[in-house]
Amino acid sequence: MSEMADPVPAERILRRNRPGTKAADWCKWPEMKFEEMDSTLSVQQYIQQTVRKDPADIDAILTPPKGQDEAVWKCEHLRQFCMELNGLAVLLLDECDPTVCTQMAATEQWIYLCAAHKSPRECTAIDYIRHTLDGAVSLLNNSKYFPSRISIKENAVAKLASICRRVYRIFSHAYFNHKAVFDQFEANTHLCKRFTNFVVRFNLMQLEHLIIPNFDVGVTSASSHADEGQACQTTDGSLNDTILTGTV
Amino acid sequence: MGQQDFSNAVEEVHNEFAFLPGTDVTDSSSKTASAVWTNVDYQALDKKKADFQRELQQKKGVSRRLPRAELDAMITSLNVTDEGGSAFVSVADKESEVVARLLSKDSKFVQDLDAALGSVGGFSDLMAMTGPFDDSETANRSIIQRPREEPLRKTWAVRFTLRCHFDCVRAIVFHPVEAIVLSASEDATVKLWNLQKSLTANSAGATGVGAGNSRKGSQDFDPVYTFHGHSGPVLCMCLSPTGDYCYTGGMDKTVRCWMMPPPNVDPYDPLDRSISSEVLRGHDDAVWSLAFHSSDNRLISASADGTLKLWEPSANPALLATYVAEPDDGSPTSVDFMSSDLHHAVAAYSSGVAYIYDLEQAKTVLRFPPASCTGGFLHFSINVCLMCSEHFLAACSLSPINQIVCHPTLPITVTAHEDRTIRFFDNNSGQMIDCVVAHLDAVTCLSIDPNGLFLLSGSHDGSLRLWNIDSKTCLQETTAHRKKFDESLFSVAFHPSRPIIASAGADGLAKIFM
Repeated sequence: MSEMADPVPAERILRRNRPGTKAADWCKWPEMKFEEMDSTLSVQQYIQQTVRKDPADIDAILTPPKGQDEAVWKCEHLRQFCMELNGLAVLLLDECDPTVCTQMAATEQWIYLCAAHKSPRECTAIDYIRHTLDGAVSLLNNSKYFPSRISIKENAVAKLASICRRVYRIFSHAYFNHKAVFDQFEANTHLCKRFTNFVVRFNLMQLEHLIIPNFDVGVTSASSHADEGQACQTTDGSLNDTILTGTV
Repeated sequence: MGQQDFSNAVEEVHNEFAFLPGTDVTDSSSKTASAVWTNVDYQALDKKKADFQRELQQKKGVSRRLPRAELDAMITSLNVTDEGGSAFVSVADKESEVVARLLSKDSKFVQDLDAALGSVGGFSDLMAMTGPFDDSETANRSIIQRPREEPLRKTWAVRFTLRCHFDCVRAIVFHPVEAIVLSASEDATVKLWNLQKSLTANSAGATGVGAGNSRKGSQDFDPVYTFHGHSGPVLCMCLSPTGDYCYTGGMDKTVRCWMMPPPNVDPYDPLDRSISSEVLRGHDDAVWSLAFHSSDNRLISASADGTLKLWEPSANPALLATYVAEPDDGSPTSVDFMSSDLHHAVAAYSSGVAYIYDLEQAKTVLRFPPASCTGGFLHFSINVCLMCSEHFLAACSLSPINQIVCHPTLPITVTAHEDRTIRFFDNNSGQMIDCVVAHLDAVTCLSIDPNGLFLLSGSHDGSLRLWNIDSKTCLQETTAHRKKFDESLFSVAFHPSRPIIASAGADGLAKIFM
């Protein structure tokens, strides 16, 4: 009875950002082993913990804990990519002028149509970026395809690959058209390097689509043939997107 | 004798015609031309007098029926949830602010009564219970007594789960009038949700009972707009009283002002840059709390840089004043404007103290608890939680405050503490008047219903609780959100004018209860 009335013991570590926490102290709590995490959000906790520890350590970030389901691992990482990519989108809001970047283009040979509409639309680059990120967060939270954070339905895994292809275009547009912003963002987050390694490692994109140069892939692809097959699978019509010009 | 009689008659006539416009002119004319009056037609005067009396009687009759008609319309409209809100808005627009408040109280009261009586026939009973409609004191007394006699009968249930954020949802706020809600997240975005569309869709689908039930249980829908602009977690949010502007504060040290897009906007429209109307810079660290004044164009922000800042959005310069806290107080964690004194605001600190500030004189008015209570002085109180059926002897020493809210009508301020307590303070003395052990973990958020009768609390134990403010009893509890690390529930809200409740949490979800 009296024990119940006592405040939470001071000895217990509380991993909590209370109101009033300074930005420098955000999430500054001791590391937690993955085995000790017992939340349905354990994978997200673990990924974010590893990213915060050292965003440059790509291999540590992408290596799943022992026994971790690979499909869930891929999905949680993609959520994290899209969330962090919002930081690049915000930088581009002022930089990417719709009267200059009138289309979503990487180089002049590659122009992409926006898949967020009932029929693919030629959006300006900044709109393509906003729509793609907003569409990704909507799809990855859709209870029809992704009802759970601890298991992934088989028919949903293919969705990850189509999101990855569109996400990569945000990186490539920034790299080829807004190099200074890209370099600043990449220096802080190493996000493009992490993403490139991610899609190669888990066979979510074909190598010929990885057009940003000098992003060496440090990990050899080790996924099964089945995964490879899924990655190459044609996407649903409802999420159709088209490459206007196929010529490299 | 004759002259005096005539003079009296004239005066009597003046009094009888006092209702006419231009009475002064008539009076003046009377004085000037008094000598001219010769043949007075008394029969004609009597006739006019009778006409006036009859007209006056008709007007009185009409005025007596007006409140009844309004109440009748309200009762009828309450049968349809969607129209209920509209009816309330319509009534509020027609009546004075005081009457609107009474109607608002009656709205809650009518819901309880309607549930008990289950028919429009209850109207006569309602009139009997509340007495004369215009008797504010009687109406107030009835409403206050009602919850004591019968706790709120409504049971809140999850109607929608809003899933479109990648990380913790830190704040949730309702539009003052519409069925619109905004959510602010650590994923750096703020999202606008139009509940009305889904409510309408459900009504349409209700033609088939099976379809309706199925749809309700699994309802999924997208936000109508996403605000991009913060470069880091969004930590707090508030709306202007008219609902046309939204203000957000974040880890990136900025306060952003957003023009609300129309509720039927296409979420995949081209970018409208006018929506991001202003960025308020000046804080040196994370912005943790925002509050907007109820009648002035004033915004107050609390930051981990140890300051409160008072702003006037759209003005140049926008920053009006900065209040620097004492280092011993820790970081300001939460701010709110006082409804009883529009020049006062309250601010809470991580050390566990709070203050009333006078914004015009830029100084503290009062401390919660008073300074004499420092130095380990403890308040003891015995509390009962109906849900737990246990008594707690609570030692209420200082504990970090996560949120502070002012009661809308009483001189009381309520605080949510890290040591699981909710505390009530008297705004006149600063003394603590009650302390309730409210949850099994830190109490993170509070919301008082606009009538001031009920309190919502949320906690890192994952639960959302509804309290009767007068008796401090817990009326309902529900587990609302899952944990991420040691965090769970971050924000709760009553809709200001509709029977809707919202909660938001560390699992990236927001929930709508009806």
